[in-house]
Amino acid sequence: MIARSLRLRLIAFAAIAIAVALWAAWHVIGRFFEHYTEQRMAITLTHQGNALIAATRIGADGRPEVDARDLEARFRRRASGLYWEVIAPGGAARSPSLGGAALAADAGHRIKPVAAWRETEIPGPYETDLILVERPVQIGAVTALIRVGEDDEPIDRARASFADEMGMFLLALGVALALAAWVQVELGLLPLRKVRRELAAMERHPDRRLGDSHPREIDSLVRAINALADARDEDLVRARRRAAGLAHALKTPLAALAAQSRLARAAGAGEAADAIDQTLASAGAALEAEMARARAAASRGGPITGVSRPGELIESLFSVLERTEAGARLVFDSDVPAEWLLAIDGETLAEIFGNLLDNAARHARRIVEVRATAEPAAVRIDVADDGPGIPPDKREIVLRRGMRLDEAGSGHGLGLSIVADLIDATGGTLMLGDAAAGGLLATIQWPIAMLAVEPPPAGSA
Amino acid sequence: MRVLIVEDDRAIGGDIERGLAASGFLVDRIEDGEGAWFAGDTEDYAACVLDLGLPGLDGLTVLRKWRAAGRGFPVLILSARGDWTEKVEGIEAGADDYLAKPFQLAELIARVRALVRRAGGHANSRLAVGRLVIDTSRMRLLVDGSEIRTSPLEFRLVNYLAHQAGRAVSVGEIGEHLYGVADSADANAIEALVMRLRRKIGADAIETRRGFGYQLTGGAG
Repeated sequence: MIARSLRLRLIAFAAIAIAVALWAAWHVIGRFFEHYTEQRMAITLTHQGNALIAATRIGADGRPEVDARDLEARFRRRASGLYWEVIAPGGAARSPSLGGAALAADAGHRIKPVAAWRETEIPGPYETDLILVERPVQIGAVTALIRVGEDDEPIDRARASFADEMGMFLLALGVALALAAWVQVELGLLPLRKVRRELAAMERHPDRRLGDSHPREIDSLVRAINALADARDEDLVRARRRAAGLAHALKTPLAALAAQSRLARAAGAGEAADAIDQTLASAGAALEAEMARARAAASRGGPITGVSRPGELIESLFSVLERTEAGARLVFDSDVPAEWLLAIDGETLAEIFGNLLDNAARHARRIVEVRATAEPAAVRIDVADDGPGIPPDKREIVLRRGMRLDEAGSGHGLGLSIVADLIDATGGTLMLGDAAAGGLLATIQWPIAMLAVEPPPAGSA
Repeated sequence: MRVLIVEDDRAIGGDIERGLAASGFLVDRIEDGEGAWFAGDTEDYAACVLDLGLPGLDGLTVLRKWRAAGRGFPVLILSARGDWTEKVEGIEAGADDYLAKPFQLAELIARVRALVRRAGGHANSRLAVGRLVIDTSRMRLLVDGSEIRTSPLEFRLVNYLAHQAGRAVSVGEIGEHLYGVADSADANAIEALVMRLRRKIGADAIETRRGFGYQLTGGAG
């Protein structure tokens, strides 16, 4: 799963890198802290050592004598953790805190005096280790080894508590860094999410393309996707054109076949003729639907090729419908202003209103009404009839592709779904509702920007 | 009664010819546009079945030429395209009816019969009311001598009102005449019909007599 998710892969890698870095930092900083505190302790011990040198004299017997009054009180308290030792060739003196024990092997008399303190760590007289500074010093005529040591247990404790606090802090830092990495990954993937949104939109509206405001890194991907979509569109257009051409070409042979069927009937083969007629009717309906789809596809996405006057067109369609059997008994009425110009080519608009009006005419009882309203955001045209209407639960079905409630009247009127397709292709919407007179109300809305108002040229009716 | 069939597909043309002949028509069949134009221009036909996709002159051009030459016989258009723009073009070129391929022969015959009946079934009478002339033989309406296109229902209304001899006719009576039944729900449709007719023939041609109904005056003539 991680291997397939860029986000998880990036976040996991960042988390591992952060954890390793912080773990290393925790160790190294702990070391630095230890080293630093030991150094601090060593410096303090050299001060103590210098005071010890000052307080040391070599007695006549060659034994060192230390005036401990100026030294720190802890030297006097037994097992206090702070110890000194002076080793001269004639003997050794030790702090009372040592309780008689020696700090280290007695090697003082063999050494030469040096200017610098040597720092070392040795096992202590009690349980814990000591930090020890030592320096051979010339006191009077002898060379004495001056040693001051301190229990390193406080350092260990400080280190442990430092490590704890440091660990907590680094943990918090790690969480913060991980969050930052997550945010970074999300921000980095944002353009991809945008691409995904745009792809989803492309799926719904095949004429859409990915925008050009993408990061350089995915530019070539975006271009490739757009090119693919273009190619697919072209294929589709070609296929549809071929389908439409085929549908068109098949119509005349179908009519001829119908003629043959009648010949067959005349010759007494009535049953065979019935079967042929039935097949011809469904083939004809399928062809008509396919041609309408091809038309919808052709108008979708293409540049706006024309403007048309819906008022004039609807009146023309009325005069066609008034000649049909269903239309001859109806009143068709429209109030679409003659001055209206819609940015839709005439053929598409004719298909939209032709089919809607034809549908209304086949169901109307007395009247089919077309009402136009220019709303603030939309130009709205209602087509209403006074027929039985479509119950609300069936409306969705009739708008679904390929569906048709009324299969009667073959060859007349395409499904409302194809009308909806066409309207969608022109950037409009179709809604079905109840007309005031009880029939179906089909409401079409186009963006108001598609409407222009201009008086018709003189001479057109 | 002679009917002209213009169809370049032999199978379809022959089929229509047989169907119409069986229904008692005398049929002339022509397969190209030029020949059709000539035949329609010189012979008298009761009706014509005209295919739009013809070799030579296309059907719409033939129809326009006939109408321009004053040939008024009813024309039923046949077409394979079947889109609304073509239907509108056909009707506006002067066609009287339209049938898309593939079609049922029975429907075609019924439509041809209806066209013939409409054109010749009525007594040849002309009725003048004001500026209007109602030509019942050809179902034509003339205002100041020029023809106004009306729908069948509009023509029936104006014809009915014209035959009421200057009497105001109630909406109920009109409904009964147009629809066979008097239904108050039809008032809206009748009102819309009157409004549309007024738009075509002049607002003053049909007056509203309050309380009585509509009266055809034909306008100031």
